[in-house]
Order: sequence, then C-alpha cells, then structure tokens
Amino acid sequence: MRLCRDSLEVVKAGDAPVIGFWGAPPRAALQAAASRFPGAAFYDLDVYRGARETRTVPDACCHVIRNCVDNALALGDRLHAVVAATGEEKCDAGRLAARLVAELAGVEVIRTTNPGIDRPAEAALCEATGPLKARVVRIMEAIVEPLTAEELEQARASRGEPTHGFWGTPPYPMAVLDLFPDTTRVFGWTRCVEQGRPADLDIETKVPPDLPIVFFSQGFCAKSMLARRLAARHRGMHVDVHDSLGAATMAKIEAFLRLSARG
Amino acid sequence: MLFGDAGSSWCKVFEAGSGAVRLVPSREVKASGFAFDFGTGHSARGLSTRFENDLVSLCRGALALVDEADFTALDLGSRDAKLVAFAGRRPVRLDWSVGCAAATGATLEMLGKFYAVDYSAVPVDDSYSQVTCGTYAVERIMDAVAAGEDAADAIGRFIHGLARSSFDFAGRPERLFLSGGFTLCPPYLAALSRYTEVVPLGRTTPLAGLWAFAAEEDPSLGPIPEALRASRCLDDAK
Repeated sequence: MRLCRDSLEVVKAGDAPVIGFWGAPPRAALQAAASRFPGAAFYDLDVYRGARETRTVPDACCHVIRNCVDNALALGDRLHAVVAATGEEKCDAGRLAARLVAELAGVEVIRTTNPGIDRPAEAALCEATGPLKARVVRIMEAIVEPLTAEELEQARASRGEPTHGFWGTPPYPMAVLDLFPDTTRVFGWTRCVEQGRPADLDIETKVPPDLPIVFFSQGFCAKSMLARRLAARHRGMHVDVHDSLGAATMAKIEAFLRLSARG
Repeated sequence: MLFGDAGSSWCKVFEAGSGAVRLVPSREVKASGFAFDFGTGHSARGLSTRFENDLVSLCRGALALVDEADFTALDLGSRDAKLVAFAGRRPVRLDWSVGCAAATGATLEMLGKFYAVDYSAVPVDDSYSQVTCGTYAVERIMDAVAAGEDAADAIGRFIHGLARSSFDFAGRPERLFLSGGFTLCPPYLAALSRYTEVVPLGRTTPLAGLWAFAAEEDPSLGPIPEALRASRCLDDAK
C-alpha cells in the first residue's frame, strides 16, 4: 500500500488515480481496496489541502468533515474510490459524509468500522520527543504506511520526560501544533490511532494526572464533551477551535504552556 | 529600560526610573518611534525586543501584585476581556474573550464623548441591559435615547449588564481582582461590587508583569516600582 503525499493541485494535474480515505479504517479494508484498484495510492481526505469550499456541508459542522467532502469533490476523476471510516472510531458525521460523497462524487464509497486490534500497539511517536506536528502527521500516515523499523527505533530512542501534553484529534488548522514544545506527549484519539484502537474510549480518556495538558476539540465535534470534562478533572485547558486559530486562542495556549510547565 | 503595553486605545509606557506611566493614544504609538525592551499588547509586537502576549504579561503581573494563593483577576479594557485564575499560584483558567466583550471600553469612551456624559455621575440601580458587547450596546443605548430616556440612565443600565456578565465570565468568584481601564469607571465598580468584592489593580498590571520578567533577567532592577504598583499614570494629551 502506498500513500500519496502530493498536493491537491499536483494530483489533479496528473493522471494517477487515488483512493481517498478518512479516519482510521482497518488495514484489511485498506488492503482490499488496494487490491481492487491496483496502482492507486491512498490519499488522506481529512487534511486541509486548499480545496474549493463547496458548501456542501454547512459551516456549523466540524471542519475536518468539510475537508473530507470538499477534498473528495475537488479530486474529480482522479478519485477512484473512498474508504470511509463510518463507525464509532470516527463519528456520526463521517457516516453521513460517506453518503454525501457517494452521491456527489459518483465513486464507490467503502464504508468501514474499526473495532481495533486486540492488543494495543506501542505509542512510540506519542511518547517520543520531537516536533509535535511532524509526529502527529506521521501517526496519521502510518494508517497506510506503518513506521519502518528504523523510525520505530528512533522514536523509542528519543523518548523523554514530557513537560506538556496534547490531547485530541489532529487539529484544523495544524498550526495549533506548532505552539507546543518538542517535549509534548500525545493523548486522546491521535494516541488511539497509533495504538491501533481508534474507538477505544479507555485509551482516549487516559491521561497522567499531573501533566499540563491542552485538551483540543474541533469546533462542532462531539469530542468536546470529553475534552471539557478531562480538562476540568486534570486542571488542563480545553481549547475549541473551529475555522481559524485566532490570536486570542494562540495566546491562551501559549500562556498555558509557558505558565504551567512542570518543575 | 523601556516597557510598553500597547492596547487598542491606549499605550501604557514606563521607563525604568521614572515616577509615572505615560498614557499615549495607541494610534500615535508607531509614529512616536517607541522601541520597547519589553512589550505586550497586540500593537507592541513589532516594537519590542522581547514581546509577551497579553495573557502571559497579565498572569505574571497579577502574580507579582497579589500575594494570595488562590485568586481570580479580570482585565477589562477598551477592546476585550481577559481572565486568569490561580489555585496554589498555578494558572487553572486562562481566557480571552474577544467577541463577547468586544469594544466595551472603546464604546463607553465614544458614547461618553458623544452624549457628554460624566461617568462619575452615571447611576447604577437594579436595572440592567442583557448586552455584553459594545456593538449591540450602541444600538440599545441610541434606541433608548431616541425614545426619550436620559443617556446617562441608558449607559448605566449597559454598564450594570456588563458588570453582571463580567462576574459570570470570571466564574462568580467571591473576590475579583480587576485590572484595566474599567478600574477607572466608578459606575462599573459600583455595579460589579453588587456581586463580588472588587479589588482594583489599576491599569498597569501587564506592565508589572513585564517588569517581573525583566527583573528575573536582571535582578539589579529591583522590586516593582511604586508607579506600577499604584497604577500612577499621566496622560500625554493632558
């Protein structure tokens, strides 16, 4: 299986087919799709790629779901199929978006649910030290292209004492993650994905009691219920971001990180 | 060493060794050629060798000026509301409301000039408007005046409503340390005091925070000067 990391413009300008996906579908479903559409690379539709806003999904809806729909429609005939997470591991909006994309993009949408692997995998990148955004991006890429043995060793070797935590899904905008120091540990759904159990609420809600953690939720995402409760219980900070990262939100995160550091 | 807190309407400038803080209209700050060693406030970002965001400087200043372990401080100025709450002197809540407290102070300054209202004489009673931002306040107050109400009464109702929403925004604490331009607004202080014990810190809390940061780097600066503790300010325009 191969992941396409090209920009939307490059994909559209070329003639290579892609299989879109969102969420964290099970590997078996991805492998089956790869066999059915030989030569097509996987393309993560969750990510904002500058697609034209079709307004298919209302503004008062999670921006990640809007990305999924707008990216799928923007790909046009480059898109040969979509493997869509539609179970508990994504959200109900993912299930509904699958219906919209099937109708509007005119491609096969393979609906999947991911109960997770039996034994949680190692959270190597979540516990590693290094730029947070790069680690979160790599965790999501690993849905299609798992870490190499060398990458895994590097991640293990860089494991260090955390100063802060980030809890949540990969955010829109991803620039949120640039605010965090390299010593930030990852929790929440992103950690669930790395551990191969994206629907595991126990893993999702498990955080250390004394680490300063920013609990991020995307605007209009139901996970805000968890984020708010966890922030209250652990004296963390709940941040809800919808369309843009405003100066006030950036300042809140920056101040929390500065003033809550351990030690 | 020069410290600057460049807010939306006013820039507070303090030079180490001087006896008072200068108040400079923010629209004049860029042309004035200030170069701050330590700066805060959105207009100071490009003018400062070391810049701290508004919440960081407010937090540091509140910790420098307040000795209590658990307390809440609210900064209400011309454009927005910022809140910091501490437990055991660690921040447990940081908030910055741009939308719901938008332009409150700027609106009051503007309406005060427009209707020639003396704020020391604005009455506050049991009535209040359910309006928290300046944009809607203008509409309500102008409607009330057009309907024959006294401008001071209509403004008083808005100020009382603002105090109620400030109290809610702050988490309804028993005691609230107040920073920013509204510490100079008697009807606001009277209205807020109906709900909580108000301890005014003045307009220089963020500057005190900058001083504290500077003194960490250079202990020879000494303790926070009285001008910053007492919020002693001189308006350049007067």
